[in-house]
Amino acid sequence: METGYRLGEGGNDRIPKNIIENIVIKLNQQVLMNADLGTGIAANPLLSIFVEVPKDGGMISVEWRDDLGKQGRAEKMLLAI
Amino acid sequence: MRPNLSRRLLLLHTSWLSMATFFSKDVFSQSNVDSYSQKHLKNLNLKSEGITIEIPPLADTGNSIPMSIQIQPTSSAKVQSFEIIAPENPNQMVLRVTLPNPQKKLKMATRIRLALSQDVWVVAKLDDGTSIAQSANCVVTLNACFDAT
Repeated sequence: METGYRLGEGGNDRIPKNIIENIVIKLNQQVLMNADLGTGIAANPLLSIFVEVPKDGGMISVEWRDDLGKQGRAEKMLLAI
Repeated sequence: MRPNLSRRLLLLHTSWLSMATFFSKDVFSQSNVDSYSQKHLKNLNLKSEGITIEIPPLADTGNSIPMSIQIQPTSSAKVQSFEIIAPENPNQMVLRVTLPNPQKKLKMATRIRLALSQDVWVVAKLDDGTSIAQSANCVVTLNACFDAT
């Protein structure tokens, strides 16, 4: 993540802003949480949440999108024991 | 043909331009920044019961400060959304979370950047239309904006 306030090596040019703007967390295709991030989130971002797992388990997915339009997605099966 | 335009007339006829710029909507569109100011947040006089903020009172660097929040309204209302606001940061809105299915209790942790020593605010909206807010002070000895990391 780049805030857009940091200067380059010469100390003249600003490094352009590049941050993750939006994170959507879904559980079984249902949106659990929609997070809009600002530049105030650390360069190595962390979002830790607690999720109540359904009795039958489920698929949790995390989708992110940055301000350059890049997207990413990860998913994991949750098992209820 | 010599244009009949004196300096005084030119200024008179173009003065509407500067006035239009001054009163245009874009100039005032920055007013939403004021709603994140420390003064405005304090003046809202929102109840603070139900929000717990854990943030170190002293941080060596503002680049990455661990912060955890627990929101559990004392009333029967559920949490619909919340914002983390750092009023002294260049961009005050740090994180805005919305929950399509409101929850009775919400616990989360993140890492934030702080430009200066300041009160960090958490403002939560509940599904009954009310809001609650809590702040916690964090002193930053080396701020995030001037460090090259």
